[in-house]
Amino acid sequence: MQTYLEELKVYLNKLPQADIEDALSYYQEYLEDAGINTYPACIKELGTPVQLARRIRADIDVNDYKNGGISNEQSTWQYFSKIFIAMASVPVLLPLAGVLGAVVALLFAILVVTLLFTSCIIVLFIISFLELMYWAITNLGLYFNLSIVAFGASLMLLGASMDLAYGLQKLTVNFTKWIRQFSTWMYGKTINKMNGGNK
Amino acid sequence: MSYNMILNINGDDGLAIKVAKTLLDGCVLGLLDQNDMYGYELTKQVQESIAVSNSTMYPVMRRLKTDGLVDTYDESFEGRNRRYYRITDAGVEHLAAIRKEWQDFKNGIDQLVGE
Repeated sequence: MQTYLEELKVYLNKLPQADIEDALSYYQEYLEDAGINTYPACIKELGTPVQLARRIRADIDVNDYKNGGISNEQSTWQYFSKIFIAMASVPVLLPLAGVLGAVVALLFAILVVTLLFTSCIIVLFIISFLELMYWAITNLGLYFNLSIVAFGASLMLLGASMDLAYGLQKLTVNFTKWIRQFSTWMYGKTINKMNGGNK
Repeated sequence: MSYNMILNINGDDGLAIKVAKTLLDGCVLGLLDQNDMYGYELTKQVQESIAVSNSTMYPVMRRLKTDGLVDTYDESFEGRNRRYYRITDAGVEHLAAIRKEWQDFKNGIDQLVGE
C-alpha cells in the first residue's frame, strides 16, 4: 500500500503542497479502512496511481478556475497549455489534443484579424471626427448651417468609435472565457475516455 | 444547475449513466445530513444506492469542503487518524436547493420519457 501511495504522491507533485497532503491522507485512510494492503489490490480498488492522480488533478484544475481564479489573459493561456500538454502527453488522446489546438489557433486568428480591422476603423472615425470638428469650428462664420451639420456628424463618428472600442473590449474578455470553456469541455471528454477503461 | 457531464459511473449491468456533479453533491449532502461519516464509509454508503467508482468521492468531498458546504474533524480510531465529514448550515441550505432542482428535473424527464 505504501508503494502505491508513494507513487501517487509523485504524480501529484505539481499541485500545491496542501492539496497533495490532503489527497494522500484521504486515500491512506481509505485504503486502511478498506483493509487493502497489497499493490495489486490498490489498483483494483482505485485504478493505477497515474489514473487516480489525473482524476484528482483534473478536478482541481477545473474547479479552481471555475470558482473565479485569476481571470486575465495570461492565466487563460497557462490554463489552455496545461490542458493541451496533459492531453498531448497521452498517445491515445493526441488527436483530441490536436483538435483542441487547432480550434484555439483558429479562434485566436479570427480574434486578431477582427481586432486589427476594428482598430483601423476606430482610428479612421476619430480622425474624421477631429477633421470635421475642426472644419465646423473654423467655418462657423462662413457656412453656418453646414457647420452645424459637420459638427453633428463629427459627434456621431465619435460616439460610433467609442461603441466600437467598447465592443472590442467585451470581445476580448469573452474570448478568453470561451477558450477556457472549450478547453475544459475537451478535457472533460478526455477524462471520460480515460475512465472508460477504469472499472 | 450545471448538467456538465464529466463524471462517469459504471454499472455492472451495462448501461453507463452519467450523473451531473451537482446531483452527486446532493447525494453526499443528503447522507451527511443524517450522519457524519468518514471517506470510506461515505463511498460505500453512496454505492449502496448508485453505482459510482471508488475514486469518484474524493473530488466531490474536496469541492464541498472548499465551498463551505461541509467541514471535517479528526478522531483517532485504533491508534490512527480518521477524518470525519460533517454538513454545515450552508450545506443544509444547498441540499434543500438541490432537492428542489432535482424534483423539477425529474418531473421534466418523466414527462418527456414517459413513465
